[in-house]
Amino acid sequence: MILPGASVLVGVPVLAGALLLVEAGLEHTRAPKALARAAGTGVVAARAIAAVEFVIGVPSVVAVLLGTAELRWALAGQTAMYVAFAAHLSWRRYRREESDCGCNRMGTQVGPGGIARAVLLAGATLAATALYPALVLPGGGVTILLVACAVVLAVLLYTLPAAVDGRAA
Amino acid sequence: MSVLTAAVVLSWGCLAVLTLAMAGILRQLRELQSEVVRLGASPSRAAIGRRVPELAGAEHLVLLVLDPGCGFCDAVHEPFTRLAGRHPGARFEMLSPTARWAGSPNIRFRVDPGLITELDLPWAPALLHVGADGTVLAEQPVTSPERLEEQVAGLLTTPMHQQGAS
Repeated sequence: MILPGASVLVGVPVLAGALLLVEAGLEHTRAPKALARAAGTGVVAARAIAAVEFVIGVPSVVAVLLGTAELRWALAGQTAMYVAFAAHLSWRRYRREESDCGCNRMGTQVGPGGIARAVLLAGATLAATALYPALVLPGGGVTILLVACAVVLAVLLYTLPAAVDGRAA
Repeated sequence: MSVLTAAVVLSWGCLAVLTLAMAGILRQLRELQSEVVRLGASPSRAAIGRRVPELAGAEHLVLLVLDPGCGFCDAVHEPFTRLAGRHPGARFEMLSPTARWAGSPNIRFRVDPGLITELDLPWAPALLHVGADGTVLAEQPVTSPERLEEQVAGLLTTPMHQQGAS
C-alpha cells in the first residue's frame, strides 16, 4: 500500500523534473548549436533531442497531475532521458572534460551538481513509473500548493549545476 | 506518512538544495577573488613587447588563442573565421594546444602547446596583435562573440597599449 505522503515526496520532484525537461526542450529548440557543441553532435541531432525533450516533458507534466493510465510511457521516457543524461555527464566527467554540460543556457561546466541532479530525478521518475499511477499528486485543494512547490523546486534545480559546478570557462 | 510530514520533508529537501547552491556560489566567489589577486600580482605575465619569432610574417598578425577547456571559445571561433576578409592588411591566425577546432581557407590554424606555454596568457580566448617581426604589440581577453569585430578593429588601431577586459 502506498502511503499518502509518498505521492507528495515522489510526485513533486517528478513534476519538477518534467518542467525542467520542457524548459530544456524550449531552450535547445531556440539554440540547438549550443547543445550540439555540448553533446558533441550535429545541429540536426540537437534539434531532435530538443524535440524529444519537449514531446516527453509535456505529457509527463499531465501524467503527474492527472494520473492518466495511457501516459505512463511519458514517465518511462523521462526516466530514460535522465538516465541517459546522467550517464553522458558521468562519462564526460570521467574523461575530465569540463566544457559546457548542456544542462541549460547558463553555460555550466560538467560536474557533480549536474550529475547528482540527473541521478536523483532519474530515481524519482523511475519510482513513479514503476508504481504509476499510485504516486501521482493527490487531488483537491492541496494540488495547487504542490504544483507551486514543484515550480520552486524546478527553479532551484535549474540553477543548481551552475551554482555547484560553476560556469564553463 | 501523512501529507503534512511529506510536505515538511520536501521543504527540508528544498533547503538542502539551497544550501548546496549557496556553498557552491561561495566557493566560486573565493576562487574568483584569489584569481583576481593572482592576476593583479603578476604583471610579469604580460606578453606585450616580447618577440616571438614563430609569429613573424609579412604582415601584422591578429592571433586568436583558444583553449579546449573553455566552452566560450567555441562561440568565438566561428565569428573569428569570418573576420579575415574584412582586414586585408593583416594576417589572421588561430592557436590552440589541441586540434579541436577547424581552420578556414583564409585563416591558418596552429596547434602548438609549446607556443601556448611560452605566451603564458592569463585568459582564454585571448586576442593578440603581433607585429610583422613577431613582437607582441597588444593582448586582451575576448569579451563577447558579438563584439569581436569591434574588438579586433580596436586592437589594430591602438596597437601599443594593453587593453582591459571592459
